[in-house]
Amino acid sequence: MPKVQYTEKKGLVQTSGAGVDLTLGSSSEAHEMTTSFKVQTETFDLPAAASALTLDLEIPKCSILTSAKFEVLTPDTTNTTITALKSLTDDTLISGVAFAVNALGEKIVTPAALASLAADTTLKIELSGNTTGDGVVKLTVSYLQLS
Amino acid sequence: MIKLEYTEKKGLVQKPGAGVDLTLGGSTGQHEMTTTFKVIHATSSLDPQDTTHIITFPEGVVLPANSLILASKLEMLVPDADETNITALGISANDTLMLDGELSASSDEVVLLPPTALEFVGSESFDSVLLTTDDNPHEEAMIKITICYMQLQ
Repeated sequence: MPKVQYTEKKGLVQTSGAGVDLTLGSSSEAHEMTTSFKVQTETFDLPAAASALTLDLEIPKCSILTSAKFEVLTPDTTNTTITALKSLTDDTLISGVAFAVNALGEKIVTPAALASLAADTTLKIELSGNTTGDGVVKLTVSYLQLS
Repeated sequence: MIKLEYTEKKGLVQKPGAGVDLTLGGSTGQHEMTTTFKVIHATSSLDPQDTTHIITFPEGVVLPANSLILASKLEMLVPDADETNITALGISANDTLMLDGELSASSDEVVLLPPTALEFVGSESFDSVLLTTDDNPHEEAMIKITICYMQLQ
Protein backbone atom coordinates (compact mmCIF):
# COMPACT_ATOMS: atom_id res chain seq x y z
CA MET A 1 0.00 0.00 0.00
CA PRO A 2 1.39 3.44 -0.83
CA LYS A 3 1.63 6.24 1.71
CA VAL A 4 1.75 9.85 0.53
CA GLN A 5 4.15 12.12 2.38
CA TYR A 6 4.88 15.80 1.82
CA THR A 7 7.85 17.52 3.40
CA GLU A 8 9.19 20.95 2.50
CA LYS A 9 12.59 19.38 1.88
CA LYS A 10 11.60 16.48 -0.41
CA GLY A 11 8.23 17.57 -1.73
CA LEU A 12 5.74 14.83 -2.51
CA VAL A 13 6.94 11.26 -1.99
CA GLN A 14 5.10 7.95 -2.04
CA THR A 15 6.42 5.28 0.30
CA SER A 16 5.10 1.94 1.51
CA GLY A 17 2.45 2.26 4.16
CA ALA A 18 -0.93 3.95 4.25
CA GLY A 19 -2.31 7.43 4.77
CA VAL A 20 -1.45 11.02 3.97
CA ASP A 21 1.10 13.01 6.01
CA LEU A 22 1.74 16.71 5.44
CA THR A 23 4.91 17.70 7.30
CA LEU A 24 5.42 21.44 7.35
CA GLY A 25 8.09 23.65 8.82
CA SER A 26 11.79 23.71 8.10
CA SER A 27 13.52 20.42 8.89
CA SER A 28 16.82 22.24 9.42
CA GLU A 29 15.42 24.35 12.23
CA ALA A 30 13.60 21.53 14.02
CA HIS A 31 10.19 23.09 14.09
CA GLU A 32 8.30 20.65 11.94
CA MET A 33 4.74 19.63 12.59
CA THR A 34 2.80 16.93 10.78
CA THR A 35 -0.88 16.82 9.87
CA SER A 36 -1.94 13.25 9.13
CA PHE A 37 -5.23 12.19 7.62
CA LYS A 38 -6.05 8.89 9.27
CA VAL A 39 -8.68 6.18 9.46
CA GLN A 40 -8.99 3.34 11.98
CA THR A 41 -11.48 0.52 12.03
CA GLU A 42 -12.63 -2.15 14.48
CA THR A 43 -15.07 -5.01 14.10
CA PHE A 44 -16.66 -6.05 17.37
CA ASP A 45 -19.31 -8.35 18.81
CA LEU A 46 -22.11 -6.52 20.52
CA PRO A 47 -22.10 -7.09 24.29
CA ALA A 48 -24.40 -9.68 25.80
CA ALA A 49 -26.84 -8.18 28.28
CA ALA A 50 -25.09 -4.83 28.37
CA SER A 51 -25.77 -1.39 26.93
CA ALA A 52 -22.21 -0.12 26.53
CA LEU A 53 -18.98 -1.50 25.13
CA THR A 54 -15.42 -0.25 25.42
CA LEU A 55 -13.51 -0.75 22.18
CA ASP A 56 -9.84 -1.30 21.46
CA LEU A 57 -9.81 1.74 19.17
CA GLU A 58 -7.70 4.57 20.53
CA ILE A 59 -7.35 7.98 18.91
CA PRO A 60 -4.12 9.84 19.75
CA LYS A 61 -3.86 13.13 21.61
CA CYS A 62 -4.17 16.26 19.44
CA SER A 63 -6.45 14.52 16.96
CA ILE A 64 -9.63 16.00 15.56
CA LEU A 65 -12.37 13.40 15.01
CA THR A 66 -14.16 14.14 11.74
CA SER A 67 -16.57 11.23 11.23
CA ALA A 68 -17.60 7.72 12.20
CA LYS A 69 -19.17 5.02 10.08
CA PHE A 70 -21.16 2.18 11.66
CA GLU A 71 -21.93 -1.00 9.70
CA VAL A 72 -23.98 -3.96 10.91
CA LEU A 73 -22.27 -7.10 9.61
CA THR A 74 -24.48 -9.50 11.57
CA PRO A 75 -27.76 -8.20 12.99
CA ASP A 76 -28.38 -8.62 16.69
CA THR A 77 -31.55 -10.43 17.75
CA THR A 78 -32.64 -7.56 19.96
CA ASN A 79 -34.03 -4.34 18.50
CA THR A 80 -31.56 -1.87 19.97
CA THR A 81 -29.76 1.22 18.65
CA ILE A 82 -26.30 2.66 19.10
CA THR A 83 -26.95 6.08 20.58
CA ALA A 84 -23.53 7.66 21.06
CA LEU A 85 -19.81 7.39 20.50
CA LYS A 86 -18.00 8.32 23.68
CA SER A 87 -14.59 8.25 25.25
CA LEU A 88 -13.74 5.76 27.96
CA THR A 89 -14.08 8.65 30.41
CA ASP A 90 -17.62 9.32 29.16
CA ASP A 91 -17.00 12.47 27.15
CA THR A 92 -19.47 12.47 24.27
CA LEU A 93 -17.70 12.57 20.92
CA ILE A 94 -20.71 12.02 18.67
CA SER A 95 -24.26 12.10 20.00
CA GLY A 96 -27.51 11.25 18.26
CA VAL A 97 -26.07 8.28 16.40
CA ALA A 98 -29.46 6.49 16.29
CA PHE A 99 -28.21 3.42 14.45
CA ALA A 100 -30.26 0.22 14.70
CA VAL A 101 -28.19 -2.92 15.20
CA ASN A 102 -30.93 -5.49 14.49
CA ALA A 103 -30.79 -5.11 10.70
CA LEU A 104 -28.09 -4.98 8.08
CA GLY A 105 -27.14 -1.41 7.20
CA GLU A 106 -24.63 1.38 7.60
CA LYS A 107 -24.61 4.99 8.73
CA ILE A 108 -22.07 7.81 8.73
CA VAL A 109 -22.27 10.30 11.58
CA THR A 110 -20.31 13.45 12.37
CA PRO A 111 -19.65 15.45 15.54
CA ALA A 112 -21.89 18.43 16.23
CA ALA A 113 -18.74 20.52 16.61
CA LEU A 114 -15.10 19.75 15.95
CA ALA A 115 -12.91 19.36 19.00
CA SER A 116 -9.28 18.50 19.57
CA LEU A 117 -8.63 15.58 21.89
CA ALA A 118 -6.56 16.63 24.90
CA ALA A 119 -5.35 13.07 25.59
CA ASP A 120 -5.13 9.65 23.97
CA THR A 121 -8.77 8.59 23.80
CA THR A 122 -10.16 5.06 23.92
CA LEU A 123 -13.56 4.82 22.27
CA LYS A 124 -16.76 3.45 23.75
CA ILE A 125 -20.22 2.94 22.27
CA GLU A 126 -23.48 3.36 24.11
CA LEU A 127 -26.70 1.57 23.21
CA SER A 128 -30.33 2.30 23.97
CA GLY A 129 -30.67 -0.97 25.84
CA ASN A 130 -29.17 -4.38 26.40
CA THR A 131 -28.35 -6.40 23.31
CA THR A 132 -28.50 -10.16 22.91
CA GLY A 133 -24.83 -10.23 21.99
CA ASP A 134 -25.09 -12.15 18.72
CA GLY A 135 -24.67 -9.09 16.50
CA VAL A 136 -21.44 -7.92 14.86
CA VAL A 137 -20.73 -4.27 14.03
CA LYS A 138 -17.85 -2.57 12.26
CA LEU A 139 -16.86 0.97 13.25
CA THR A 140 -14.59 3.14 11.11
CA VAL A 141 -13.42 6.54 12.34
CA SER A 142 -11.63 9.25 10.40
CA TYR A 143 -9.59 11.96 12.05
CA LEU A 144 -6.81 14.49 11.62
CA GLN A 145 -3.80 13.75 13.79
CA LEU A 146 -1.32 16.51 14.66
CA SER A 147 2.15 15.61 15.81
CA MET B 1 12.35 23.88 -0.30
CA ILE B 2 9.37 22.63 -2.23
CA LYS B 3 5.81 23.92 -2.17
CA LEU B 4 2.89 21.71 -3.13
CA GLU B 5 -0.07 23.23 -4.93
CA TYR B 6 -3.25 21.63 -6.17
CA THR B 7 -5.70 23.38 -8.48
CA GLU B 8 -8.52 21.82 -10.47
CA LYS B 9 -7.02 23.30 -13.63
CA LYS B 10 -3.41 22.16 -13.24
CA GLY B 11 -3.74 19.31 -10.79
CA LEU B 12 -0.79 18.72 -8.50
CA VAL B 13 2.21 21.02 -9.03
CA GLN B 14 5.44 21.26 -7.05
CA LYS B 15 7.37 24.55 -7.12
CA PRO B 16 9.94 26.44 -5.02
CA GLY B 17 8.54 27.58 -1.70
CA ALA B 18 7.06 25.87 1.31
CA GLY B 19 3.66 24.66 2.42
CA VAL B 20 0.62 22.97 0.96
CA ASP B 21 -2.12 24.87 -0.89
CA LEU B 22 -5.26 23.07 -2.00
CA THR B 23 -7.26 25.35 -4.30
CA LEU B 24 -10.69 24.02 -5.09
CA GLY B 25 -13.55 25.34 -7.13
CA GLY B 26 -13.91 26.33 -10.78
CA SER B 27 -10.67 26.72 -12.67
CA THR B 28 -11.93 29.99 -14.14
CA GLY B 29 -11.12 31.56 -10.79
CA GLN B 30 -14.64 32.78 -10.21
CA HIS B 31 -15.36 30.64 -7.19
CA GLU B 32 -12.07 29.24 -6.00
CA MET B 33 -11.13 28.86 -2.36
CA THR B 34 -7.75 27.80 -1.04
CA THR B 35 -7.03 25.73 2.05
CA THR B 36 -3.44 26.23 3.16
CA PHE B 37 -1.61 24.13 5.74
CA LYS B 38 1.28 26.00 7.34
CA VAL B 39 3.65 25.90 10.29
CA ILE B 40 5.19 28.98 11.91
CA HIS B 41 7.45 29.28 14.89
CA ALA B 42 8.89 31.86 17.26
CA THR B 43 11.76 31.78 19.73
CA SER B 44 12.15 34.26 22.55
CA SER B 45 13.59 34.82 25.98
CA LEU B 46 11.10 35.28 28.77
CA ASP B 47 10.98 38.61 30.51
CA PRO B 48 12.49 38.12 33.98
CA GLN B 49 10.67 41.22 35.24
CA ASP B 50 7.17 40.20 34.31
CA THR B 51 4.61 37.38 34.21
CA THR B 52 3.38 38.21 30.71
CA HIS B 53 5.64 37.60 27.75
CA ILE B 54 5.17 38.57 24.11
CA ILE B 55 6.66 35.95 21.78
CA THR B 56 7.05 37.61 18.39
CA PHE B 57 7.23 35.66 15.13
CA PRO B 58 10.18 36.35 12.79
CA GLU B 59 9.85 39.48 10.65
CA GLY B 60 7.17 39.11 8.00
CA VAL B 61 5.60 36.06 9.64
CA VAL B 62 2.08 36.27 11.03
CA LEU B 63 -0.69 34.01 12.19
CA PRO B 64 -3.13 35.13 9.51
CA ALA B 65 -6.75 36.10 9.85
CA ASN B 66 -9.30 33.35 9.21
CA SER B 67 -6.87 30.70 10.40
CA LEU B 68 -7.75 27.63 12.42
CA ILE B 69 -5.04 26.55 14.86
CA LEU B 70 -4.71 22.77 14.61
CA ALA B 71 -2.05 22.24 17.28
CA SER B 72 1.06 23.77 18.83
CA LYS B 73 4.36 22.60 20.21
CA LEU B 74 6.06 24.29 23.11
CA GLU B 75 9.67 23.73 24.03
CA MET B 76 11.85 25.31 26.69
CA LEU B 77 15.17 25.77 24.92
CA VAL B 78 16.66 27.01 28.17
CA PRO B 79 14.52 25.77 31.06
CA ASP B 80 13.67 28.21 33.76
CA ALA B 81 15.93 27.91 36.78
CA ASP B 82 13.02 28.67 39.08
CA GLU B 83 9.85 26.63 39.51
CA THR B 84 7.81 28.90 37.27
CA ASN B 85 4.71 27.60 35.50
CA ILE B 86 3.26 28.66 32.17
CA THR B 87 -0.42 29.23 32.81
CA ALA B 88 -1.77 30.67 29.56
CA LEU B 89 -0.82 30.82 25.91
CA GLY B 90 -2.87 32.65 23.33
CA ILE B 91 -2.95 35.39 20.76
CA SER B 92 -4.13 38.07 23.10
CA ALA B 93 -4.58 38.66 26.80
CA ASN B 94 -8.16 37.44 26.73
CA ASP B 95 -7.76 34.44 24.49
CA THR B 96 -5.91 31.38 25.80
CA LEU B 97 -6.30 29.39 22.61
CA MET B 98 -3.48 26.96 23.15
CA LEU B 99 -3.20 25.98 26.79
CA ASP B 100 -5.75 24.69 29.25
CA GLY B 101 -3.94 24.14 32.53
CA GLU B 102 -0.35 24.83 33.39
CA LEU B 103 3.06 23.66 32.25
CA SER B 104 6.34 23.71 34.08
CA ALA B 105 8.79 26.13 32.52
CA SER B 106 11.66 24.33 34.23
CA SER B 107 11.33 21.24 32.02
CA ASP B 108 12.98 20.99 28.60
CA GLU B 109 10.36 18.55 27.27
CA VAL B 110 8.66 19.24 23.96
CA VAL B 111 4.95 19.49 24.76
CA LEU B 112 2.28 19.02 22.12
CA LEU B 113 -0.69 21.26 22.83
CA PRO B 114 -4.15 20.73 21.40
CA PRO B 115 -6.14 23.95 20.97
CA THR B 116 -8.52 24.56 23.83
CA ALA B 117 -11.27 25.00 21.22
CA LEU B 118 -11.22 24.78 17.46
CA GLU B 119 -12.09 28.35 16.61
CA PHE B 120 -11.00 30.60 13.80
CA VAL B 121 -8.54 33.30 14.79
CA GLY B 122 -10.84 36.01 13.47
CA SER B 123 -10.48 38.91 11.07
CA GLU B 124 -7.15 40.12 12.45
CA SER B 125 -3.64 38.78 11.83
CA PHE B 126 -1.23 38.38 14.75
CA ASP B 127 2.55 38.78 14.68
CA SER B 128 3.03 37.37 18.17
CA VAL B 129 1.57 35.15 20.85
CA LEU B 130 1.18 36.03 24.49
CA LEU B 131 2.41 33.74 27.22
CA THR B 132 1.62 34.12 30.91
CA THR B 133 3.57 32.67 33.83
CA ASP B 134 2.58 32.40 37.47
CA ASP B 135 5.76 34.10 38.62
CA ASN B 136 8.65 36.08 37.19
CA PRO B 137 10.87 33.55 35.39
CA HIS B 138 14.61 33.27 35.60
CA GLU B 139 16.41 35.68 33.29
CA GLU B 140 17.93 32.94 31.13
CA ALA B 141 14.71 31.12 30.32
CA MET B 142 14.12 30.79 26.57
CA ILE B 143 11.14 29.28 24.81
CA LYS B 144 10.20 28.10 21.32
CA ILE B 145 6.63 27.78 20.14
CA THR B 146 5.59 26.12 16.88
CA ILE B 147 2.05 26.48 15.54
CA CYS B 148 0.38 24.42 12.83
CA TYR B 149 -2.63 26.11 11.30
CA MET B 150 -5.03 25.86 8.41
CA GLN B 151 -5.93 29.04 6.56
CA LEU B 152 -8.95 29.54 4.36
CA GLN B 153 -8.88 32.25 1.71
